Amino acid sequence: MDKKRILIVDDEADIVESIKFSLELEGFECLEANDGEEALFKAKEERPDLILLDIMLPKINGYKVSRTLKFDDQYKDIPIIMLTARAQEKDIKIGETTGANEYITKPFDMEELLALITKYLKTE
Amino acid sequence: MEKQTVLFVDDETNVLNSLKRLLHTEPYRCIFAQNGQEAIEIMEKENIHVIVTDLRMPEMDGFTLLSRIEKKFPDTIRLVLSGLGDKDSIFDAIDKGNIYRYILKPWDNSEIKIVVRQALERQQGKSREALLANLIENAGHIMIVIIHPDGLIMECNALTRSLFCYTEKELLGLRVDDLFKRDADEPGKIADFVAQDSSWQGELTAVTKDGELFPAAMVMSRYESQGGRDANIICFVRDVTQEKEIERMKSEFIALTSHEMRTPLTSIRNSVDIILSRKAGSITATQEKFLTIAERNINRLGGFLNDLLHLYELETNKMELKYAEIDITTTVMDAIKRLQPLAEKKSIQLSVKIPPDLPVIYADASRIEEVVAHLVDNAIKFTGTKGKIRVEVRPMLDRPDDVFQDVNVFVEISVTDTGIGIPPEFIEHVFDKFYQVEASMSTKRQSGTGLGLAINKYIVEAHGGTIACRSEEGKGSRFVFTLPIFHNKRESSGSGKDYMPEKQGATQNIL
Repeated sequence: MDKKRILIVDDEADIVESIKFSLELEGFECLEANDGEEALFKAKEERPDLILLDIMLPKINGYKVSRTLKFDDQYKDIPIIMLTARAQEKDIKIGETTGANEYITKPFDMEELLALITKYLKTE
Repeated sequence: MEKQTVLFVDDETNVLNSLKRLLHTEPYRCIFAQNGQEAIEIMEKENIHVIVTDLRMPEMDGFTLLSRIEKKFPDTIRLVLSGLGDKDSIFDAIDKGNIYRYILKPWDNSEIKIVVRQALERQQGKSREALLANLIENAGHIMIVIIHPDGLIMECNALTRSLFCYTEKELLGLRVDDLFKRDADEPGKIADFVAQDSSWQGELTAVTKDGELFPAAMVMSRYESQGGRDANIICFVRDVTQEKEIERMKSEFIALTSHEMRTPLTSIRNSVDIILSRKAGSITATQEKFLTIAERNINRLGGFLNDLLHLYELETNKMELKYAEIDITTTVMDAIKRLQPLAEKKSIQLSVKIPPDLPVIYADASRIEEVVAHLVDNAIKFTGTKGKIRVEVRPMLDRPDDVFQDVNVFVEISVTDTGIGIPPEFIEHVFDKFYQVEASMSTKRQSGTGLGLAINKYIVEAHGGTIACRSEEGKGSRFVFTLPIFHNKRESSGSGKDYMPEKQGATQNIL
């Protein structure tokens, strides 16, 4: 079976690095994007199995990236897990309107994130 | 208060002498002058409240004197004491000299006393009026606007004119609704706010002459005079632009700080997790020990950031309470179930006593669960192994004499532990922000942010309840909060369906 491919979108190289390390150990193949524009490009070009998406991104923010993909029939089935450092209620409310499948607040527990990822990739 | 002074002017010495004899027992000071020139010199030196002058005098007659005084000392009340007897000359004198009263010679002793006293009272009233008018006009920090009940602006002070960029003349032709706009979702004329109640306060958007907007906080009240015939509305208005700006900056600062701290914390946490889980290779027991300390403190910092945001949201009312009819038994049990494993770990006996048939509470279930869970969690933290924690719910009446007032009926939820307790000097501070008793004690205890109880207090008070704490050092603590049974139903369901608690059971015990 082919390795499942996960697109990690975050402008913080350190965070991408640590997530990537953990996911690769679990047998996932990781793709990276450092801003919203690159995220959209790679999502469409590479069609990953799942996207981990930060909200505060350069160029195009995470909400917009999620909305763009989730309202496009071609890509709407790709699960999106939002990662964010913004934990105010209003941010969570906005997050809920973007069609993202999950919302996880930084700093998060890696095991928790892995459990979520497994949940979405199993149901496929 | 300064003694009031009356100046008498007459060219006849015997008139002045008899006035002196007549009035020396009166409660005001009398000064005497024999001609107009002398009178003016005295007035330049002294504060004269009332002047009483003859009209026919050599050199400067009474009319000349009075008109000079009117120009130079308009606040002095002017009286005439003269023998010029016919009606026409009296009216002429009153009109030309613009005087207050005319006393005819020969005078009646009582009349002169009464008239001078009345003149002094009038002078006092006038100066008080001038003082108040000056106070209102020059109030530097508050706009004062007086409006007619139909909305027409009747008076306003200098600050109002300057902030709205209108001249006094322009403003007096406007209506209050030209200056202030309500929020779109609250239709109606501003003056109508006070039609039903006698006062109103709130925030409005102010519109200047140039169409610029600024936020304004207004306190409006109706004041009635002349037996209720005149019911004008007085508005005190503050420009709250700066407060709003500070609030915005505070909000931005907290959001930014939170983001800037969470981002590096995420990298640290992920890295520590990777090493601790041995994904990056084996580690020694000592390495594990210290990385575990690091991990625990990362979690503590993350928890603190969450509490900080949480409290901030509560304080700024950004957190909306989702009111619903809740069964308090379910809410309390949900909280307890979450914490039961933690209690078991420390072999703490966690018991619950909830009577059947508790009334329905109108509250935000998740917030109340949060309060109960926090209190139980705290109790577990501060109670030693094999201790006891008891959670109890009971209905209560606020005061026995309020039996017939349903609004005063509460349920009381208490969490009692056999833990370390709180020293008496710290009890009154336990609900303060950033206050942590154990931080002030030498013994190192469980970590916490010191915000939890402050958050609980906000939640309980937002529901119209109260929270309190009793404790005895070394014996244990008891936290009690109340929730009103009939909460102000802001989101009335309107279904008319009575909600019955699911759990009708008697006292429940777990463990």
